[in-house]
Amino acid sequence: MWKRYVGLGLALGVALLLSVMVGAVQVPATAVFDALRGHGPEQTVLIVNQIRLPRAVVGALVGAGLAVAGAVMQAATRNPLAAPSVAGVTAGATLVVTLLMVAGIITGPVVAFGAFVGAALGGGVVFALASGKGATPTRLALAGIAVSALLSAVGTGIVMTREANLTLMIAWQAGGLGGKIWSHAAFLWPWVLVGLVAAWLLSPYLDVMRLGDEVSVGLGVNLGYARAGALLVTVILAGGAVAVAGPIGFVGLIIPHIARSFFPHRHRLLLPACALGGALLLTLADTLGRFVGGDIEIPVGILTALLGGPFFVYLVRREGK
Amino acid sequence: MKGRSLRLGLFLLLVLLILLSTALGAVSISLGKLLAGDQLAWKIVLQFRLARTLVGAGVGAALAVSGAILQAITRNPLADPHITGVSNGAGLVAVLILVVLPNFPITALPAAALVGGFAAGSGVWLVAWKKSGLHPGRLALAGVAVGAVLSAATQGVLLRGATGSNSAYAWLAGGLWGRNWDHLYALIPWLIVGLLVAWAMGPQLDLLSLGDEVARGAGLAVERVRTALLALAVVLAASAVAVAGPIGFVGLVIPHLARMLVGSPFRRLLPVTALMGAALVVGADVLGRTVVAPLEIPAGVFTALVGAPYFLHLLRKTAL
Amino acid sequence: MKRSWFIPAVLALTVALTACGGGKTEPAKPSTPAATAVTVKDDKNEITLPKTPTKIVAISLQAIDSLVALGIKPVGVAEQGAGEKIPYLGAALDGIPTIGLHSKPNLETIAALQPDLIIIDPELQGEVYTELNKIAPTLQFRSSSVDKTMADLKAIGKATGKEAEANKFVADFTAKRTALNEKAKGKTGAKWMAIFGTPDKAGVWLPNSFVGSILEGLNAKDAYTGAPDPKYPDFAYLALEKITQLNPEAFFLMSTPGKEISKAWSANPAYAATSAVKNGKVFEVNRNLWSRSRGPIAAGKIMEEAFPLLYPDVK
Repeated sequence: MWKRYVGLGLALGVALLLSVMVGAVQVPATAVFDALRGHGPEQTVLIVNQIRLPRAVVGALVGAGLAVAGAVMQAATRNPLAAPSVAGVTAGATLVVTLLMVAGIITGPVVAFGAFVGAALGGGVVFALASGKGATPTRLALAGIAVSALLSAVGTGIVMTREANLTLMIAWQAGGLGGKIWSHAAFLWPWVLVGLVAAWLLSPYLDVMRLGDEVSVGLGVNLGYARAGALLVTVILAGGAVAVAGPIGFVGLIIPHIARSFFPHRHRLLLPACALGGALLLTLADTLGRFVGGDIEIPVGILTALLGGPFFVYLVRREGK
Repeated sequence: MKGRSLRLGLFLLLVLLILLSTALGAVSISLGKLLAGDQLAWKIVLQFRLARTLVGAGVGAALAVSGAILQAITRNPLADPHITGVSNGAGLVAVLILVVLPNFPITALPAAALVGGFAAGSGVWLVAWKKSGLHPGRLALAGVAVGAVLSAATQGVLLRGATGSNSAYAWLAGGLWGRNWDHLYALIPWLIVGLLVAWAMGPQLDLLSLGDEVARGAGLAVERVRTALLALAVVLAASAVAVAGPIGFVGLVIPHLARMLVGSPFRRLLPVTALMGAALVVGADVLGRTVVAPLEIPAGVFTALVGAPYFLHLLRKTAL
Repeated sequence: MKRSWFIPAVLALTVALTACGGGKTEPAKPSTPAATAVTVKDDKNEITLPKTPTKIVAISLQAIDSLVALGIKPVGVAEQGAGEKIPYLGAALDGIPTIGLHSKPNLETIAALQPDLIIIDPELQGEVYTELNKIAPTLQFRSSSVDKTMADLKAIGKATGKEAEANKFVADFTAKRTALNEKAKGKTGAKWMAIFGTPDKAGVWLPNSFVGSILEGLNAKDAYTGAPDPKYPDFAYLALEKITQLNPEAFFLMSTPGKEISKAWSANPAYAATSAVKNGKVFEVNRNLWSRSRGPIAAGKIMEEAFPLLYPDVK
């Protein structure tokens, strides 16, 4: 079993190396290691250390955060379709960013924190509406749709009468890792670290919640506290990721499912695999996007959607036994 | 009779709303001018206001009836054209065309969007279909899944654009800006046929909403009828989306309100649903083009503001 | 018995209303083939105007800019929202009523102005071209380069009986450019990059774009001469490292006033490594003027704004 974790970790390492090598300018592996130590042509050092490495790190953090957030959500709602992008987190962040843009604030920590708050609100509302008695996959998915529609209607009403904001809005909604630098990583890592540790500490409760309300109560778990804890963890992880990278869909949906087919279902063991897997997926998708696009960027969100959408459909088919 | 006077009342309300919609707008037109035969005034009223108002009424009726059918066949009070992915399919095709083929004749856009709506509807049907039949819960989920894929693809198309994407973005908001008689002609045949077929299939709908066993017991070919009705709902919704973009929640909220007012059977419900749907969209449009005139807020914004909270309210009450 | 007369009634009414509305209520245009009738070719059609138009509605930025250049006061212009009209045209647009957004012109407001000519951008307002053309003859122009802008200006001049003014404007522009090029004779301007940016994305204009053609006209080379985005003839979103690698000597960052992005940019090491940033050659320019307008006045202003930035040594 431990071999699998090591394998996953190694794969992530290779993916990160690859992502630093590939791009508009190809940098061979040896030159990457030189550049990491500050040797080699100035431009290569810059590209490796200041452009690609921070981008890869942000991508890995975002991927890990989203995947673990998805796993926590799926356990707490006993819902295989739960994921940040399905559950209003994205729409909440988008609305707050829209409001800030209209107010003339288009960049900087205020936008990041605003997106975070919006993500928390959107996710919180959906989570609250979908949990409780009779929580089913359908209910969560539908609540997510309704809340997202409401939030985006408010945003549209505001943006539609102001042309100057439209292009900025569309660009933000793309989501992606383009232009991410060390300052983004510096903003993000504390959230991801706290979220991951908290999720891991929550593992036993997640195991119990996954078994159902009756079992949980029978085992003496206070469901209210456990759910609140799960919500908080989700919002910290997904909110932080959306705040930095914008809406990147489907990572939180796919990874937990894949991880469950290779790793034990106990969350203490599953969550680390999710974190590594999410980081791996996003790093690979972003590298692929740059490899295919050449000089021209293809946002990573498109690639994850292309991978994740069909997977979502597959899950639905599997679900309705 | 109570039902009849209610329908008459609703009909009068719709007529009144349509009149109001032709009376209000960015330009103020007095009744005196119209009576004096002022040509410009008549042109504004007939060519711009009446046309889009009637398109709105048709779209509202189509969406509401489509929603009523979907709710009956899935026995899911939360089903509507938006949620079953039809709107997203039509939207994806329209956006794709606006962004990728800027020279595509815009008058042909509705027909193309119709194709997208059908494709998405079929996709949902395929995803939901299993040997055991078309399970209601899975149908709703399939709609959500296919809708998510399609809207991700739409986002992808949108964000690769800079110029054409502005109008694509506007289209996605759903509204009646710039809609004219041609749009109405594009919609009317689908609408009339759709409403008539829905009317004709009223008894089958009533049976289906009692549950598969009961329907089967009454000699209904459940799967075949449900498939036919799904196709009908798609026709109505896709043609509406094709002319007005995705105006959300009309198909969801209106059937509930209609049921509260008149209950079943479907033949009593259908006209009330159609009238109320028409009234909601016309009302939203009047609001949208008067509050910030001469600028406009898309009708879809107002229907979502009203509809989404109601949807959430329903969600809390409904056992799923 | 509940007789269900209702659907038939609704349908009948709908059909009746449709029928009467669809009837051509519009009176036939008085056909007076006056001596002043002109035929103008726009991007899509050839249009004959029976007489010189006096009440013109301009919906695209290029159209508004062109009319102002010809000394014509439109009877209605589009805005960008919140009452904001093209700022660089200053007082020329004061008092002119707004007819809605550039992207969503309000048809009834336009009709109420009773224009005799409407000018639009087919890419932005083409959706309602047919409707607009019913209100008044509608010309469609979308410029792709400074030459096209000037050719369009001449066409608009011909349509509005201001041919002399149009020719003079174009001649003045050309003379100004020649004079500027004379001043900088023997020198090459800074290798530039004109960017339509958001905080994390950089869309760059190619040499064959509107802005590109103006700057290249000043003998300054575009740093990016590669392929455009598949969807556009003259524009590409570039990876950051590509920008570092191209190493431009001057950045023109197009942003919305009040939403400047250069601060976010200068924090980014990818840009910081370019000679443009190292030498303090990052110029935040108005997006409405540099990117959206594509009008003749804009062309002149861009040229004037850009010259001293491209040739800082030339006095």
